[in-house]
Amino acid sequence: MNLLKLLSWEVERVTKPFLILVAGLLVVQFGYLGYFLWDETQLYEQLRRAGDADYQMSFANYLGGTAYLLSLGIAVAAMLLYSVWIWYRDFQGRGTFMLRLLTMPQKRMVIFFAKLATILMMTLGLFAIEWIALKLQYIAFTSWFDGKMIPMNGSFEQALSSNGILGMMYPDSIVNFVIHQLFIYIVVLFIFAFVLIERSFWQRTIWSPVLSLSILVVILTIPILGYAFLSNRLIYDETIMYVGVVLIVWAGVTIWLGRRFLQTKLNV
Amino acid sequence: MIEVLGVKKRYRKKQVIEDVSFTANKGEITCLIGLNGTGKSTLLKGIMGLTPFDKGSVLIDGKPIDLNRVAFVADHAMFPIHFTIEQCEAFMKDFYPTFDSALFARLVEDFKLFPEDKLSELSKGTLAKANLALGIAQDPDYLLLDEPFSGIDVFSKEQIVELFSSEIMENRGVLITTHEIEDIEYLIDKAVMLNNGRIVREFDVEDVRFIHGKSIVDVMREEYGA
Repeated sequence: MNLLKLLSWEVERVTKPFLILVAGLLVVQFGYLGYFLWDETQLYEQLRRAGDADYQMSFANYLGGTAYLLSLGIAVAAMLLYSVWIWYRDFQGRGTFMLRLLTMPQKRMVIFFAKLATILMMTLGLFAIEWIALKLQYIAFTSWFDGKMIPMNGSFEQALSSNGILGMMYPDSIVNFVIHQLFIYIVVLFIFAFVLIERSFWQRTIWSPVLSLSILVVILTIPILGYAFLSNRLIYDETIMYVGVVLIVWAGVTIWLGRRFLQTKLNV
Repeated sequence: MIEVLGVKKRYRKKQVIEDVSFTANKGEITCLIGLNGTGKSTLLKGIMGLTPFDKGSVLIDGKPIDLNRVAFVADHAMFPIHFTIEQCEAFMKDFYPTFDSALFARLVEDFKLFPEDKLSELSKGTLAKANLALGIAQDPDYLLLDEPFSGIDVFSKEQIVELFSSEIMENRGVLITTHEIEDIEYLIDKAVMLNNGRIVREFDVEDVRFIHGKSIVDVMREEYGA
């Protein structure tokens, strides 16, 4: 119950920056789409006049455009930064909210899971909004070129799967989608563990983030080195199993570290 | 009773708190006294688990600390400063089962606070009163106050001092750090004097006053050689 209440407070606090991020993303993408449609139409006209009738429009070309990819990159960077900021903001400023959060009569892990759930909701929200935006962009794309009687090739799904980032965001199967989401959550868990370890050093110096990062790099690299050692001896099924176990271990260790530092070591 | 037992805290090469033990009784005001940097705030934060001690323990009535029974009031806002006092109250109601809305409403009225005011808009004195109202409305058995009078005007001080001697504070134990000793000297029951992270003197204020004819400030002069 407390988790849901705190989640509600966290969501309320994140709503404004999240909406600004989404608005920025949509403005950039639709702005770029408008430019792309105009520019491609001009190009098609030039080619048509030159007698090159084979040129066809592709939604994949739009999705591969610098501005579109940059908008996605900025959104991903913003989400990663917010995963850090969601903790640091409560230690900063004239109102040290962490003092209040840590003196609430409840388990401190409620704070951890409320912040984690907030990030997960933001991520899923962003994915959902981007999906709708993509559909709308595709409709605008096809309507425009249909109206101009300009030929197009490739479907919406083909355009998405041919794009590296979008192919990962919206894979063909739900299982892959869940796996990709888990990867994202593990990245967030590593970020949370980093912040909580760093904030637990009372003697904060330049070495605090370095030490915190070093601990996590060790946790991150041991299974990777293990895989490099074992890869020749593992068959496909075993590799999948190995990856699954590593993900669970990473999630478990980062949550355990987060719990340990949050409950007994954190300094405000 | 709050029992602080053999606590230690080191910062770099300096032992900020060195084997400190003392008690603060329910129904009494215990004042941690010391010059700047003697570890008073660190002690309060350590008791609340905000700056964990390296060694030692803290017991509340013989048991590990129960945050339903102890409230901490810092010398600055403990909420994001864009929160209004109303929002702070709503948050407290959500997470503190013992939060007493009626008591909070009374304190808001007594302190002449405006619930719709943002914390960022409050003067230091008004913010101190809002912090105190939020802390007391938790209805704790023990209240830990870190420099509640720091930088506030004389009238705000008077209001807070008046509150300490009111029935609202009856049966509550108060552990306070302050440099404004003279303002609350007559309210303090027990003083714990710190120097370089150690307790240099612990005394019943009334005894010192009546038996030795000294004020706390007199004792401070003796101890700190000022």
